[in-house]
Amino acid sequence: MKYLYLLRQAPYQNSLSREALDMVLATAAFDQQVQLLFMHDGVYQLQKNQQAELLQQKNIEKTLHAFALYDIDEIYYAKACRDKRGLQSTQLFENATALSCEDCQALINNADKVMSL
Amino acid sequence: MQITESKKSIAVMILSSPHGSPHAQTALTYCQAAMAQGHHIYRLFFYHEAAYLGSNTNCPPQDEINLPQSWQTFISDNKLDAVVCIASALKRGILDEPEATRYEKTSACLDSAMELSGLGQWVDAVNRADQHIIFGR
Repeated sequence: MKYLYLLRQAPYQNSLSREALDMVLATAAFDQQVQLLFMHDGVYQLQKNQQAELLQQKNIEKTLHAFALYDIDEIYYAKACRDKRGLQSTQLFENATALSCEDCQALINNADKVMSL
Repeated sequence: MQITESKKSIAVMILSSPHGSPHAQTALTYCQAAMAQGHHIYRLFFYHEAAYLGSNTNCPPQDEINLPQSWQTFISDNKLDAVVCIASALKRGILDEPEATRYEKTSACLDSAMELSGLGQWVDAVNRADQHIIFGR
């Protein structure tokens, strides 16, 4: 099955951003194809140089780098959500690809299972 | 109510705590309505803050609803498959007897209507059920 995760939570605001990523990794570990689409405040999860230790939290950036170990290589974010938040592509995780709204729609339409978190 | 659609099996994930938002109540109402229309709840999966819905030690005032108990009664009465994510539960102190023993804690409060298990149970449910729905935080 092709699972598409819509990751909409800002990092470190509550534990759902963290637990959503745990779901992502578990899904991949159970041999499902996994695609990720970061959108809304979820694009903040992709920022480089996160200093989670200042908040006594686990660093989400480390999980981003662990995706490759789980064969998760389709990592996307909504360009419109990035632009709205004043972020540049250079500030974000380099393995993530910007998508137009139309491409986001196509991604959602083509997935077997859509998980919105 | 007239049913025109075919019957479906549904996997349901709940993310909300009993008191943090109305979503855990909405999810229960949804499940009751789905079953009343003849649909099948394939599995309930309580994740994130919804692990608190597994506790059987809530003692609200008499004029307030006991939402964890409402869920537990609904599950028992309908003999539903109800899983609380073990990682979500353990970190929030919702333990069953074996886990309480394992971690040397004095209290186990997971209701017998539910069981602790892993995210594989959710992936399995999503793969096998006709559709899935997630109730937010």
